[in-house]
Amino acid sequence: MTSQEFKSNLLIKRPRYANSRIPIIEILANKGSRTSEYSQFGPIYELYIYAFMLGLKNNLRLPLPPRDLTTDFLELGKWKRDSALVDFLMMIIFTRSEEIGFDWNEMEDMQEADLNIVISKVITFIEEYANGGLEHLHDLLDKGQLENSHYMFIDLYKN
Amino acid sequence: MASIINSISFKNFFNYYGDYFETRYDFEEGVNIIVADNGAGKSKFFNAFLWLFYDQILDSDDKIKKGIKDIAVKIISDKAKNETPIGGSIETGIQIEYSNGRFKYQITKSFTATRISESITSFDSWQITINDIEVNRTDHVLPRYTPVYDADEKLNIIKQLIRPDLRQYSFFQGEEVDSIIDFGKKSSIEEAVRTLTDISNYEELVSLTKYFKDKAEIDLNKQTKSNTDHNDRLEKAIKLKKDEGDKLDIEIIKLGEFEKLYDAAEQEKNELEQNFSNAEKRNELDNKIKEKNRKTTDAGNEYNDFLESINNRFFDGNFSWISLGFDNVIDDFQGKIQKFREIHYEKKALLNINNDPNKHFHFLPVNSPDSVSLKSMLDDQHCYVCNRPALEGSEEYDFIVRLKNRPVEIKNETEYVKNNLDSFFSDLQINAQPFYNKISNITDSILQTREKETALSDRLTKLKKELKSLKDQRKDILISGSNGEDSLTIINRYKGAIRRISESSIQIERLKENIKKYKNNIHNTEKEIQSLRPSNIPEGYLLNYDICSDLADSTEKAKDRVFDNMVSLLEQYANEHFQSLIKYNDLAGGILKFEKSPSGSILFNYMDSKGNVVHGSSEGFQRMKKFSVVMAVISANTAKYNYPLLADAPISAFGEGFTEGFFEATGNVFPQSIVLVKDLYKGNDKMKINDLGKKLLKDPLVKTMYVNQVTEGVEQVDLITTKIKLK
Amino acid sequence: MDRNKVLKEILADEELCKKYKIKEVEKLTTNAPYYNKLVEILSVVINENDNNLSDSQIYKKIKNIHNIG
Repeated sequence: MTSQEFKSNLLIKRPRYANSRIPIIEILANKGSRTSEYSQFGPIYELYIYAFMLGLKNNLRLPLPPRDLTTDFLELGKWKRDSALVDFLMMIIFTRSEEIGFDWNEMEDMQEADLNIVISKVITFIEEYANGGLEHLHDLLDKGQLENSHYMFIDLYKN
Repeated sequence: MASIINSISFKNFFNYYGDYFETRYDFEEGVNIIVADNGAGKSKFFNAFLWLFYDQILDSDDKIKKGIKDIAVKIISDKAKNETPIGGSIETGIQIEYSNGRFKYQITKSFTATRISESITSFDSWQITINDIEVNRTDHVLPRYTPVYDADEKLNIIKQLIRPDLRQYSFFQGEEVDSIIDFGKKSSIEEAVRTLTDISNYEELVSLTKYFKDKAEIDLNKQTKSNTDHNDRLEKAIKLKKDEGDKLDIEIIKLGEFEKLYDAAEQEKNELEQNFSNAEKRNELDNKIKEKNRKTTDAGNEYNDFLESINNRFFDGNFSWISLGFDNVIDDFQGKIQKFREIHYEKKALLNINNDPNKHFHFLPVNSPDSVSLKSMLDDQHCYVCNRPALEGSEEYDFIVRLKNRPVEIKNETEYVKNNLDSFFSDLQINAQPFYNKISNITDSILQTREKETALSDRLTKLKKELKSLKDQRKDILISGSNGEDSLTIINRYKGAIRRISESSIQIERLKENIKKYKNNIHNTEKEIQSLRPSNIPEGYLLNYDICSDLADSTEKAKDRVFDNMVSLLEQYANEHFQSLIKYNDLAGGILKFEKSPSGSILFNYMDSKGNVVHGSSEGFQRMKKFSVVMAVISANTAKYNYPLLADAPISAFGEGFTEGFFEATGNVFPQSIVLVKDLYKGNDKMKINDLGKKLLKDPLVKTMYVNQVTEGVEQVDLITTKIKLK
Repeated sequence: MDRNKVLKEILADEELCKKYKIKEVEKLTTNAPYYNKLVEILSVVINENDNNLSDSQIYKKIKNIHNIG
């Protein structure tokens, strides 16, 4: 497998989110221009990335429930196309290869099937930290601790 | 005995939130001033008295007076409405205390509102019950009030606060002065004269004596006819006199009609004159408002767009806020990629020792020998370079094969790893730069974003304030009649009115000439009739006719005299008051003259010392003229006027020179005045008043001064008026 | 209505007083005895109008003063 092929296989994946996260997603993302009391991101993937990063910062990794209680959305390759965003995410993720459970050099000798397993683990890594981030946001919402301002996201992000 | 208002209190009345004792204004004899900006309870004061006297409130949205029950929900304080749960009730009302020497009264008018559904502003959400009027009385000796029970007595007590027929002169809003004494309307001076004199009696007597004169003439003519010395010439003369009389009556009717036309045209001209300057001002303001509105909308949009875009800065490569806190990634990744490469290239190096296809071919360029030649060598099993056989399966033959395959294998570079991920990792590092080479700037970027937002917000607030101020100014420019007229229409109407004035003026002249002519003819014919009458008519009839005619004339003259005397008296008083009003102004030195127009209406002209008419179109000037006449009406009524003045005074429209004069003059005419002004308000002053306000505060004439304020920067439901008592 | 005031006001007419030889108007009232017929008639008109008598009723009284039908 070449680098190109590997990257394509990775970027074709569609991460999933728990259905129980739908409420908070609807409140904080306005895909299709919903309006809400709170500040919002546009497309869902923006909120997802934000939640993922928030999860990483606060060490909140939370496994997803069984597959039929989850929904997928946009494939990674289409997240902010023509931008370096996903490359940056990948940088972060591959730095954590030990936590995820693979070794860079070993990957070069793996069979395709094993490479695909690495890709799944990467996706799971993303999903679980995102889940943690989303739950954290939901928690704050329930406690009424979500700031009602346009700086809500950045303020949460800064600590 | 003068009636003096002791206090006014409000309960949940518009912006006056709270119970009566919490929003109470105490007043004394003399001048009392309340400084209140627009929206800070100015017109609400008036509404309290409108309620007291007429059970009405002026709706500030459409400037129409409405019954209490019809507009009740708008009257209730928003804050109080908001605090009332469904099923709960609140009370809204006004309370006024006044004394008249003998007694002191306390009058409370209120209603109870019960909330029956969700929307607090909807009229349907509230059930309104008007409470009974409460009137209490004390005789100044006992400290307690005792209730008054009799319904008629209650109403009487309310009426007596300001006598009904003089109320319009004693209780008015600034703009209303313009209509009380409407210079264009004959009727407003006539009405004033009527209030002040017994002219209606004279009018009765005029028609009565005329009736007698006619009857006496008929009787006399009957006698004449039945007398034997009656002759043709006499008959003709009597008939002629009657015909001339009929023609005279027709001319008089026509005259009346033209006078009405003149009157109407003059009224319109005066209205337009007033409006013309207003129209220009209004147009100017409208243009400014349009421009300011556009700027405000643009600023608003820019601000909103900016706010919406803040979150984009997380994912925009120019800002990369998402990278905040991930500084360590750069080094971590670098560390890992280096380690990776070490091992990666180790593997490559290892394989190379075993299997480097290029090992012997270092000296040969890639396509040398060319692949066609190499193919022929293989087909012929012969090497054409060194001219030796290369049989299939031999080492020489294999060597040529490897040469031929060299380009392909270079492409593959022989798998030294199964998956060459070197470029995958290095591409990540190269591509992701926008997101990690600014991380140290992100904090500043956030700060700059906040600063930009504040700047945009401040700009928007400033523009909004400027827009509101322009709109407030616009609201203060009153134009009676349709607001949709532009300057051109007004000019045309004005020209039309002037033309009609001159046309009817000509007609009036002509008719008056005719009337004079007929009257003359009648007079001469009468003389003729007298000389032709038979000498033996009983003297009684002649005398009767004589006396009745003379009385008719004298009574008519007496009526006109009474009217003219009162007008002169008003002119005299008006001048006195006008002089004291303009005492401190540069315009002093002229006099106010009342002039009768052809139609009989009274024109008030201000003539300067050289006898020229001064056409000051400044609002202040016009208002002062009218105030003088209002005060003249008051002074002419009695030697001492015994009722309070409650007025709002747009003293900035007066101009500084008028203000002092105004307070001095009103102080002299009214035993108590309660004047509401907005022009003394200055938000950023400690006492909230400007220099003129401070000057007045020191004036011994001024007995109390309140400043009303509205809480700033709160939601509508929390808006309340608070007062500061400065004196 | 002040009847005397109205009387004096109407009689404040120089020509009238001259023609009917009326002097010292200030002393006149609408009560009898009357200075002359004019004053009497005027007084009757003022008084009876104030008493709300009808026009024709008052006219009758005037005629009586003149001794005519």
